[in-house]
Amino acid sequence: MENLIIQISKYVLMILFTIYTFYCFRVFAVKNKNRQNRIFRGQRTLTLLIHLLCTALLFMNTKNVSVLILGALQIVFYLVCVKLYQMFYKGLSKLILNNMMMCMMIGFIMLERLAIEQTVKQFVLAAAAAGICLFVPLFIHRFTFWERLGWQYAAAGILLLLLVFVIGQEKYGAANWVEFGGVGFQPSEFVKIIYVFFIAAVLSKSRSFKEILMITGVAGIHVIILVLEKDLGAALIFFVTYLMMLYIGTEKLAYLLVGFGGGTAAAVGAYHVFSHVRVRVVAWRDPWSVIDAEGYQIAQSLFALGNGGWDGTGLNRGLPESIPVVESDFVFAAISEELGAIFAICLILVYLSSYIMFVNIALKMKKEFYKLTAFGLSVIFIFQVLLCVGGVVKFIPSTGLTLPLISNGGSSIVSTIVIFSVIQGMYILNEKGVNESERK
Amino acid sequence: MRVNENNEANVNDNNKRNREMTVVTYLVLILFLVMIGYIAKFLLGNTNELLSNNKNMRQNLLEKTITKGSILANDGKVLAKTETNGKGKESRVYPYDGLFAHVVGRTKNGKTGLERSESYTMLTTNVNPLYSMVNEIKGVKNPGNHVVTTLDVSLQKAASAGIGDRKGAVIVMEADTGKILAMVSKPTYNPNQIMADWNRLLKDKGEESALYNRVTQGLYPPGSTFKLVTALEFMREQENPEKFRYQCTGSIGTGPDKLHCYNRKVHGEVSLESAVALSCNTAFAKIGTGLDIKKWSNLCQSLYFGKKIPFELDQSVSRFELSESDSAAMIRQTAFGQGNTLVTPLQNILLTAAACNNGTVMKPYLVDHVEDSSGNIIKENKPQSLSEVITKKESKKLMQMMEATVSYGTASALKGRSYRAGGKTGSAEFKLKSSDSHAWFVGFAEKGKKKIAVSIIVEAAGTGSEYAVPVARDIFDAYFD
Repeated sequence: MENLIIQISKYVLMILFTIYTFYCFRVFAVKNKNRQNRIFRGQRTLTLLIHLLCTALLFMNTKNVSVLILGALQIVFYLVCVKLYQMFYKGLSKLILNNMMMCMMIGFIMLERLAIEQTVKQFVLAAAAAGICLFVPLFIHRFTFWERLGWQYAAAGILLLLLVFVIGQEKYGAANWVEFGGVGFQPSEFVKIIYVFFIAAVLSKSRSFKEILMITGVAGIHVIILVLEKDLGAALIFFVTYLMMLYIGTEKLAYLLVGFGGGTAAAVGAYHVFSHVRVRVVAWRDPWSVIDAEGYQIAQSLFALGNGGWDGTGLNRGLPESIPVVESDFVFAAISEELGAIFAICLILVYLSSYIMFVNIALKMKKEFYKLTAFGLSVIFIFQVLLCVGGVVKFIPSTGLTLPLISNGGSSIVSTIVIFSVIQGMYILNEKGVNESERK
Repeated sequence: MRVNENNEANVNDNNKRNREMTVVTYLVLILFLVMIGYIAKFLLGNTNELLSNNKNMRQNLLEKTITKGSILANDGKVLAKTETNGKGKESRVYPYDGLFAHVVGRTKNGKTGLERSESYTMLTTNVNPLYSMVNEIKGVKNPGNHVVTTLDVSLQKAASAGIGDRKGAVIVMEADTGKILAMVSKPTYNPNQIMADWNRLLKDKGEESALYNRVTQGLYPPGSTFKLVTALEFMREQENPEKFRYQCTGSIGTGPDKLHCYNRKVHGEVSLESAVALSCNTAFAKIGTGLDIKKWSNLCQSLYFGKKIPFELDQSVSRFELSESDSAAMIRQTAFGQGNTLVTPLQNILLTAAACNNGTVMKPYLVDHVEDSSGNIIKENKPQSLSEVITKKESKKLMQMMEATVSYGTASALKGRSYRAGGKTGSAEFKLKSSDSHAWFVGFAEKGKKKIAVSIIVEAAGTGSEYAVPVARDIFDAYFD
């Protein structure tokens, strides 16, 4: 009987989420404000329905009362967040807000499914981050030093990254972890935001060749430190972000092409110099030949995807636990196995719609610094999704990145909430300016 | 996707920058589309294979809700089934004990054979959803699908009896479809008692090695059966191979490289056909030294030397490793099947099977169809051609040579039967200076429209004519009479 319920509800979930995803794109074509708002309200109802159904299924399977308590808290969190964000961020992009909340809710459900003992910590961190970020618009508005700073960002970022070498710890093959008074965090997750501020601030002031060379050098230092920390995913993201921002900032396609050439050469070099790079490539090219060692994780991930198929096994009916650290870097495989590839692909599309909205916001920005920051952050965000999912499905070598807002990991969820909030904050400030000038 | 805001200030500058952002966004969209395409391709591919992987623990999940289906012979006889005792405990039973041990395989101590490759199939259920739902509610397991193989119990028995207590391997294939009718590896073990016998079986890693399937995993020197390959290459390089004549004096070469015909026999003047039929080593040594080694290697490659044959079971890869820098002595050795060449009985059937099927090798397969618990066909495997290795003309000539081997050569034991037969014997020396040799026979028999090919090896027995050909005769008799 239980199985029957799970089988039926997996299709219900798939349909609900498909509608949600459809709305994500539909809204771009709808110009009427009222109709837009109807769509957004619909999305919120869908989110809550999906969350309620999943919580019920999890409870049915585990008979664990804490699932119900957590579920109730999450719904409260959801309602409060949606309310407060709309109060503190007047005129924000509701699509981005909805998507952020949706992804977080999916993340909570998956974490309860995979490692329930970690859910409380993740939930508290997310709530705290969301709470603090309510004040982001205020911070941006009140303090005007954000764009006046420049190289200071880089200095702070590099120092934070170097912290790992002093008090760092190795986790899952990457030495990118710092513990400070009992609280562990991953500096690169936060440095990436500072790093975007740095490039945006410097580039918005000067685009002389000398300046560009210096930015390149400093960005290179970031990347090299990350490679030495074996944090290959972050290294790649930093590199791509630098390249994209440089291209937007200077409008020179040549930089992009030269950058890609240089990046490819550097990647080939890294492959030959660092064994930890080679290991990842070997595991990607033929995980089956090294299934007992490097290839184990990716092979298990493919087993999960294959087992789930298009419609999934139903929540709690797969075996995603067989993938090492599934609740973090490989959560996408767990989603695809139990909720189905259609659900998982919809999730990718939800991320994409957020990204498109981000870029739309960047397009509208008038201040150079805002424009570059918003764009840089959106590149960081979407490339993280690409590298994470790509690694899980063996599209590219796995680089050990988290899936934004869904993977377990305090640093990751906090930094993503910050990214979403900063973009939203800049957006409403910009809109204010536009509205004022339109009204004249 | 692009929201165009034509704002007042810096319109030009802004638009320009926006163009770049749009470019990047399209780039991102393309990357994601390709990735989603990749996921779709992965899911549309053969994900069953993943589920059959030994490292995939998910089958254990399925076994909770589905009773594993059976493996059946081509006439429906049960080769493996799951029995549930009164207490609901399941066990896998093999009614023929060791007869099908290697091809059907086992589920304990590592899955092997069809029990491994078809495990997921048998843990899938196709009973009607309503019935399945009722079972679900009642808490009763649904019956899994059955795998109906191409295996023929009487041929398997004949092949097994033919090898007797010796060590060896037999594979029988329907030449025009690729259906495997029998696959025997000796010595065998009893999969019903695998747990009790396990330690003993593990100890026999040396010559016995009862656990491994010699048909697909055993690597042997091909001996004179390889002369068919050499002869084929020779025909390709010569304009008039029929005109080839060689005066066999029983030996060729000098000093330590001196080679003899088997038992130092002197064959006198031979043609290509009689060199094959009589298995004249010296004639082939002579032929070998004149061959283009590159082309010869290419021919071997097309016969699945150096690569896996598409087939369900685990296999070793056959080797042909002659290079242009090798000595003349090595080239001569290789030409008649000694040297460094190693083949599996599975590989060795391919050329013969192609020859009696107008040059086309059919893809060997073991699963005829999959049916649900009430006998409805769920999936049917159709014969597929693997490759067209040789031309029709070449296949005819190879057939003539193989028939000559029966009519006046080393396989005369097959003469005068109710069917037309041909083949090539081999006596592969596997130890230096030892009189022991592996007895080989690859061949075919046809009667009316039915055509089967065999590849047989009897380890350390003696000549192919004496020890392998009679096994072939038993099999052909059992099949056609």
